[in-house]
Amino acid sequence: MSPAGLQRQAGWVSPLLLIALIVGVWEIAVRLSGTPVWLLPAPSDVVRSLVEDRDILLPNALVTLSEVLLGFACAVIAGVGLGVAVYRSPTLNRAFYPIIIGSQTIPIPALAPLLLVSLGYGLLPKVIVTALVGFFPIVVNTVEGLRSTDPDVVNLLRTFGASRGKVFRLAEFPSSLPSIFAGARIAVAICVIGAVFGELVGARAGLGYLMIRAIAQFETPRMVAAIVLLSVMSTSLFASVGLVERAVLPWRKYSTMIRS
Amino acid sequence: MTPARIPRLELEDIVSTYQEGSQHLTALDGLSLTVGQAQFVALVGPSGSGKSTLLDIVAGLITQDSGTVQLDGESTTAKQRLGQSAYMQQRDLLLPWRTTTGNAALGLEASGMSRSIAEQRAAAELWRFGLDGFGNAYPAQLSGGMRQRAAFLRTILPRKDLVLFDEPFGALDALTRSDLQAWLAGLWEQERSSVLLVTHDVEEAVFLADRVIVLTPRPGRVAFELTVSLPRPRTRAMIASPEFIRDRATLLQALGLLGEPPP
Repeated sequence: MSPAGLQRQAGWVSPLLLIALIVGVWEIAVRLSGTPVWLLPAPSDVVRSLVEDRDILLPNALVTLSEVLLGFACAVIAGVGLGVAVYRSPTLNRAFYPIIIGSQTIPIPALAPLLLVSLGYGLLPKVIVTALVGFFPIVVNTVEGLRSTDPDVVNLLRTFGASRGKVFRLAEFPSSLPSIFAGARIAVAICVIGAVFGELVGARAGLGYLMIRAIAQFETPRMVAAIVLLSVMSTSLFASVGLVERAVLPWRKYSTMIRS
Repeated sequence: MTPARIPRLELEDIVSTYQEGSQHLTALDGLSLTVGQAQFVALVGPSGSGKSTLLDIVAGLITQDSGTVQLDGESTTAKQRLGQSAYMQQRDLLLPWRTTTGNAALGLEASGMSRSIAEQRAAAELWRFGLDGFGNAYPAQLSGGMRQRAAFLRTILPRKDLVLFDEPFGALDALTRSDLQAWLAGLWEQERSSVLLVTHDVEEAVFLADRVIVLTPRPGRVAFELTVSLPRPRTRAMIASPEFIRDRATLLQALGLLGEPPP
């Protein structure tokens, strides 16, 4: 194997070894101390729950996943749209940007009970909380990305007679894409947290709902199994955004830094 | 067709000032010059003599404080000049997300052509620019010389009959630079557009241009003008000719880089 390949492999191997070590110590500690399973389940109890309760876990995971995906999609559309509008119009910039920044001082999960009251136990309030959580990193990164456009490139296009719209399409928007993707990767991970929070407040399905029920019934292994599924979901979504980024921006593998 | 006697570009009494901190500086102070149809004019001068400001004005990026800029005998505003010339800077300004072909097509696309047709036109000329086989490469995969040639192709492709070069070889190593200068001389002899080249390299100016204009230190004004005595087509061998050496000495003298001539 080439040295680069070894390094690549080493990048995956060391966290896996660390996780294996933690799981091993956890298992032994629980067994030796005789801790009751409802207080702290051993990893083997969690794995058993993952297998035995799969018919409960999977449908609920799908509910959470759909909330995350819908919320994330709304966050991307609204975030990029508003970011572009704020960048292109000084008036909108003055009107919206302080509100967007200020909105971050509101703890969005605290809005969840409010949305529950007005919108009920269904999908919509969770999607809204998820979208609100994911929106901020996307809008900020969109504006920052657009502002990073090389002014000499803009001037170059102007001397060729490009209109304002052409300059945006040929230079400004493509310049902002790496930054937008960076924002989207952060957003998708915290969208999972947003969806679960929406469910914890009040829901009839989803992994957050399942966790509350499991705790109430002292089914602690099932609750931990739900957490495991959530982190798998979060990690896979994060990696998926990275894969989409590589497909959309193939040039990035040749230069990680923007060269003029 | 425009009669040959009307110059492609005529600058008259250009004054341009700019603000730097609290200082009010004059970049150009009453500069006048002409570039004839199909003429290659080089502009040399010490750093800070306002050479780049001059090109920005001609390209239409900034407005002069006073004086007129005429294209083909018509007085123009900065806004009218946008899109009238092809402007190439020292930095290649290639877009990292576009391939060589895509970057070369950029000038045509900016002026309204569809991407696919513009890229076909660019691809058809890659070989003339020594970029054969590199059409699908990204800028990060190209050498400095190739990147600059891609920038030349982007500049030439829209076939604007006024081309502005701002130290296009400035960022290259000496060997690549000398190679590209000879290549550009050959290219120009085929294209015959009107060119205004800004450079700090006197040899480059003599080798490439029909006329060389020397600017004073800031504020920039025309200090001296020379008609190059080399015939066309230009070849690398000419840099050893007596004409070349004489013209170079005259320009160095005008720039104050030689002492008084011996009696």
